Amino acid sequence: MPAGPRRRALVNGPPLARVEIDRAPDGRVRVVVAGEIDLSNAAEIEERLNDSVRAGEVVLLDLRAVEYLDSQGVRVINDLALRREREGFELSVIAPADSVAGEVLRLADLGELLTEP
Amino acid sequence: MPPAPNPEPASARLVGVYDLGPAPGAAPALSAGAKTLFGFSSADEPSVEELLARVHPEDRAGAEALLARAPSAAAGEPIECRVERADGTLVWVEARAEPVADPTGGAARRVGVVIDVTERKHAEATIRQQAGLLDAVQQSVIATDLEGRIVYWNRFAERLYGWSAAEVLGRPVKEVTPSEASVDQAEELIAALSRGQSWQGEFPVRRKDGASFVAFVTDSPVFESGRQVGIVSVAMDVTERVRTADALRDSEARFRATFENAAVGMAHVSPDGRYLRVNDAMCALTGLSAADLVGKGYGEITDPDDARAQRALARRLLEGEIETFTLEKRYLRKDGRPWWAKLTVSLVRRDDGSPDYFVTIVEDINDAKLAVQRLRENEAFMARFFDALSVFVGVMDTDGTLRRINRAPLSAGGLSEADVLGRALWDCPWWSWSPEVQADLRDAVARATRGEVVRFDVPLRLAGDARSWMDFQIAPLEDQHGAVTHLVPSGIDISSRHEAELALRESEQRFRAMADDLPLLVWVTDAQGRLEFVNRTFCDYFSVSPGEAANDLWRRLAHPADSDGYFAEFAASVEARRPFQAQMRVRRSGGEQRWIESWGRPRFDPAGRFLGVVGTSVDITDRKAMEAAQEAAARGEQSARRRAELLSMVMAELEALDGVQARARRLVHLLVPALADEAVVEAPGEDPPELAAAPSERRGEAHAVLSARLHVGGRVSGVLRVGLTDPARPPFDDDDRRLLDDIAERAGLLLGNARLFEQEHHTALALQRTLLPDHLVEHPMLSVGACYEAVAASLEVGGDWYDTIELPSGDIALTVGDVVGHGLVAAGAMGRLRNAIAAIAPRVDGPAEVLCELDEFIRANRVTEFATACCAILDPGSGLLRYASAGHPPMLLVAADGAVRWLEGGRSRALCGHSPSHRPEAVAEVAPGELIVLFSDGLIERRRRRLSAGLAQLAAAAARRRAEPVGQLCGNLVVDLLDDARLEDDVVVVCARLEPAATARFHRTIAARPEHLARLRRSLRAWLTARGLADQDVHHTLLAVGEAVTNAIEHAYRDRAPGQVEIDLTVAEAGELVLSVSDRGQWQAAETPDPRRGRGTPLMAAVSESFDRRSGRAGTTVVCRLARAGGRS
Repeated sequence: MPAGPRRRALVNGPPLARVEIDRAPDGRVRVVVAGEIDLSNAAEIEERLNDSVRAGEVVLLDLRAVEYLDSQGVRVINDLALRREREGFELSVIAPADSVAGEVLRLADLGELLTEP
Repeated sequence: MPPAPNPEPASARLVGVYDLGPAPGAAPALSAGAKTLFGFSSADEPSVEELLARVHPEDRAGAEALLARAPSAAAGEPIECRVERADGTLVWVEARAEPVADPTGGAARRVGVVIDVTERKHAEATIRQQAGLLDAVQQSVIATDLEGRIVYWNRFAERLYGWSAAEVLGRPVKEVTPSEASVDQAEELIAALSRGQSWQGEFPVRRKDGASFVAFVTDSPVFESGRQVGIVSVAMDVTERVRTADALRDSEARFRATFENAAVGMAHVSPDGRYLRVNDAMCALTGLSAADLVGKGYGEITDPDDARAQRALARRLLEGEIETFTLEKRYLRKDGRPWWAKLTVSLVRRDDGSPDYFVTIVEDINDAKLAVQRLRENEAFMARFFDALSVFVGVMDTDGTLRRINRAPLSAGGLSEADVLGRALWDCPWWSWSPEVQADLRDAVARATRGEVVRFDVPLRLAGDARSWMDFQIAPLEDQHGAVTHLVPSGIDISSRHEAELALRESEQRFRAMADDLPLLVWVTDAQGRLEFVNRTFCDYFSVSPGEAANDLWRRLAHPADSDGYFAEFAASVEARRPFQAQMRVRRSGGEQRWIESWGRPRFDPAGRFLGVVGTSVDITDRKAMEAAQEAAARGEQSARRRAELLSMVMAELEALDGVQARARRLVHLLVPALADEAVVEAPGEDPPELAAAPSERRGEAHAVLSARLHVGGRVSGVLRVGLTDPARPPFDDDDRRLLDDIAERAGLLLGNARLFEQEHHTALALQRTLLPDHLVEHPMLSVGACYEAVAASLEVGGDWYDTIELPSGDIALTVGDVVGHGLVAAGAMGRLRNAIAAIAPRVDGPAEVLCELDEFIRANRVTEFATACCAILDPGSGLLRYASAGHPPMLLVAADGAVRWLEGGRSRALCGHSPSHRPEAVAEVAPGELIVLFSDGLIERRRRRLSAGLAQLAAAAARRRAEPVGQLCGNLVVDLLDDARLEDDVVVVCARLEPAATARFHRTIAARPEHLARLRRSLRAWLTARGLADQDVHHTLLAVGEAVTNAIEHAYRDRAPGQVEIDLTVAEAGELVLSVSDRGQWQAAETPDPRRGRGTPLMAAVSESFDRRSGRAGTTVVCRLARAGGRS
C-alpha cells in the first residue's frame, strides 16, 4: 500500500492513547488508560493490558481519562474481563456513568464490570 | 386233433407255444414252457379268463385282441405284455399268433409263440435311461476308440458341431472336428491321458459349416477291465465367454488409453446445435479441422434419423427433464459414409440457470458396431440351417426329376447334391433299392402332376444302409393359370423306436463304461426325487461309495447356506416335471469347498409315466472365479468410463470459469457426489487457507479421506481433499486415488493459471490506485467526491486519472485525464502526468496554461504518445470557473433546480508532445448548490451507441441525483450509465458541489484506513463544537461516525485495496443531525461470525433515533438520525 508522506507523519505522531501501569508490592496493580481507543490502536492497547496482568493480582483499571472509546475498545475491555477466571486475577474497572468510557460500556451492556469508586 | 407242439429246446424254458384251435375264443392249448411262463403248473389247463387274469390290466386289451382274432386273420404285429405270476414275480412276454392252414383241408387254426423278454425289457429301460442321460447332458459327449475313430456322438454334439451321429460314427475325430489346439496343449493332453488322467483346456474348434468356436474340452480315458479302450471327450461352447472377456480386455485397454491421453472427442455445442469449441481428438474423429467444425451444426455431419433422435434428447436436457444422456449415433464422413459413435452429453448452465452450452464427449464405436452386425447375420444363417435339419424338402419337375433338395435328407443318406439332383426321385439312392417303393413313387408323381396331393409312408435308405420311415407327401406347385409347373416332395421322419433300441442295445456296454468314465457327476433319482444311482466320477469326486446313493447323500454334501434354495428348486422341478438347473457349494471329503452346477431332465417310461430325474453336475469353481474376474473387469470398465467423463467434465467446466475462487468452488462441487461426499481445496499459508469447500450433507466424521497435492505453480502448493461420510459408500480404491491425482494435477494447472492472472491483475490495480490520489481536497464551501472503476477481472487497467488540488490562491483545481492505451505502461504514464499537473498548477495562471505546460512535459520526457485532459479552476468564493479541455469530453454543470449545462468552450487538440504553445480557455459562473461533473470517456462510450446518447443519459442521471452526497453520486453515476453492460474501459468521475451554506454541512471523503480515523474525529469534533452541541451529543455523534467508518474499513474493502469512505452530516430543520456514511465496496460478512465483534452496530443504533443500512452494487450507505439530548446551547 502507498506510504505517502502524510501517512508516515500520522504514524509517527503522538500516540492516541497512553497506558500507565503502577504495580504495588502487595500485588495490587493500577492501570490507567488515557486518550482515544479506536480501530487503529485497539490491538496495541490490548497487548499492553495483557502484559500488565498476572495471576493472583488485583487489577484496578482506571478508564476515567479515556476521551474516545468505541466498539473496538469495548471488545478489549470485555476480553480482559473474560480472562479473569481463567487466569486467576481480580479486575475492577473504574469508569463513572458520566465519563466517556462509562457511558459506552453501559450502552454496550457491560455495566456489571464497573466498580463504583 | 391239433398237431403236437414242437419240442422245446432245453435251454429255453422261457419260450412256449400255444395252439388256439380253429374256433375264436376257445381256451388255448399251452406247451409246458408257455405254462411256466404264465406261472401255471404243468398240470393246469387254464381257461381264456384265467390266462388273461395273469396279464397286467394295462396290457390286457392287447392280449384279448390277439386271442379273439379270427383264425384265418393274417399274422399281425407281436404284442408285448406284462404277466404277473402266482408267486408275485413279473415277467415281460412277447406273444405272436400266426394262421396255420390245416393240411387236411379243414378250418385254419392259429399257433402262437410266447417268449420271455423280461431281460431285454430291463436292458432296454437301462439303455433308454443311459441314452436319455447322455442326451440330457448340455455338453457334447464324444467317445473315440484308441485309433481316434468316433464310436459315440450325443445329441448335443450334433447341435454343437453340426454333424449328425450318422455322419461321423466310424470317422476319425480329428477329421470331423479339426481343432486348433496348440502344440503345448496337445502334448499336455497326451501326457495326461497316458497317465490315465483327465485333461482340460480351451481351444478353437471348427464346425461342419466351417465356422469356428471356442470349446472348453475335458478329455478322459475310458477303461474296460483295466485296459484303456478309448477316450471320452466332453466339450462346451465358450465362445461367448471368451469373446466377452476379449471385448472387455480391449475396451479396458481402450479406456485406459482414453483416460491417459484424454483422447475422447470433446465438443462444446451451443443450445441450437452449433459447435463452439472442439478438441483435437474430435477433429481427428470427424476428419474435419477445428475451423471447419466451429459454427457448423452437428446435424450437418450426422445421419438425419440420428440427428432427430439427438435433437429430441437435447430438448429434454434443455428443459431440465434429464441431466445427461448417451446416444449411439452415426456421423457422416466427408464422402457420406456413416461411422458409429457413442455420445455422452451434458449441459452447462449459466449462474442464472439458463442453458449455456452442451459438453459432448464422443467415442468411436464403429468397429464394435460392425462386429455386432456381422454376428447377427451369421446367427440368422445358423438358425435357418438348424430349422431345416429335421425335414425333407425338395423341388421336382413334373416328370419327377429332382431339382433342389435341402441338406437334411442328404446328410441322413450320406449323400451329396450331385448324387440326387437331375435324377428322377425314384432313382435316388434313398429308394433305388426297392422296385416296389419306386413304383409307388412313380404312381404318386403321376397323380400329383394331375393336381392331386399324394401322401403315404415310405421307407428311406440312410447312410450305412440303415432304414428309416418317413411320412411323405408330394404336392403340385401351380402357376397363376392353374397349370402344374413343379412338384414339391416333403417328409418327416417317423422311424420306429425299435431300430433305435437295437442300435442302443449294441452299445449298451459301451454306455455303461462311458457313464462311469464321464468326467461329469451323473446322478439319477426316482419319481420322489430320491437318489438312485450315481456314477463312478461322482463317487470319486465326493469319496463316497455307490451304495450311499440311496440316502440323503446330496443333503450331506451341500453347503448349508445354499442347500435350501437348491433343493427347493429341485423339488419344484420334480413337482412340475420340468428341467432343472441350479448351482450350489458342496464340501468334498477333505472339507474343500467347491461350486457345482447341476442340470436335470425328467425321464418318462414309454407310457409317459414320470420315473424321476436324470442329472449331471459339473464343478464350476474355476468358471465362477472367471465370472467373478469378468464382473470385476466390467466394473472396472464402468468406473474407467466414469472417471474419463468426470475428468473431461472437470477440465471443461473449470476452463470456462475465470478466477481462482470460482474455479476452486466449481471443482469441489463437481467432485461431490460423483467421487466423494465432501471435498475441500486448501492452500496452506494463503489467506484464507480454505479456498473452497463442498461440505457433506451428512453429519459426522468422514470414514475415508483421500488427498492429492495441487501444484498451483510458483511456491504455492495446495491440497485437494475428499472424504466419504455415507457409511453405505465403499471406501476409496486405487482407481479413485489415481483419478484424484489426475484431477488434482490438471486442476492445479488451471488454478495456477487463474492465480497468476489474478495476481497480475491485482498488481496492476494496486499500482493504479497508488498512482491516484489517496485524498481529495477539503474546503468548507466545496464538497468533492471522486471514483475510479477498473475493468473487473482483466489485466486491462487503464490510464485514467483525476486529481483535486488546493492552489496557493485558495482556488481549487480539478483535473481529469486519460492516457491512451492500457496496462502498466499507460498506468505509469498516467501517474507521471497527474504528478506533473500537481507541480504545474500552482505555478501557472489558468487551466489553458496548465495544459500547455503538461504538453511540454510530455514532449520533454516522452511520457506518452497521446493523452486527453481537462482542467477546471474554481474560485469557491465567487463561483468563477475557468476551464480548458485538450481533446477531452466536456464537463457538465447541474444547477440546484436540475437544469444542466455542458461546458463546451476552451477546446484544443489532445496532448501529444508537439502541440501549439497557446491553448484557449473559457469561463463559466457556478451558482451556489450547483454541481460540477468531470469524467473520462469510459463513462459514456458504449459499443453500438452514439456518443450523444451517452451524454444525454449522463445529463439525465446527474440531474436526478444532484442532491446526493457527492461521493455517493460519483459511484451511482457509474452504476446508472453502466446499466447492465460490462465495463469495457476504466472510468473516473469527479463531482464537486459548491455548497449554498457551507457551514450547515460537514462533508469529508477519506481513504478507508484506520489511521485516518483520529484526524476525522478531530475535524468533526471541531465542527460539532462550533455548532454549540452539548458534550454528550458531540460524543454520540463521534461514536456513530466512528462505528460506521470502522465498519466500512473492516468489511467493505475486505480482501481489496482500500477505497474511500464519504461522511456527510447535515442539520435538519428540527435541529437533529442526519448522518450519512457511504463506501464503494462490497459488504462481506465475516465467514465465521466472531461473537467478540459485531458490537458496533448495536452501539450505533443505541445513540440514534433511526438507523438504516443499505448495500448495493454501488456500495453500502448508512443513514442515521441522531437525537439531541442537550439541544443547542
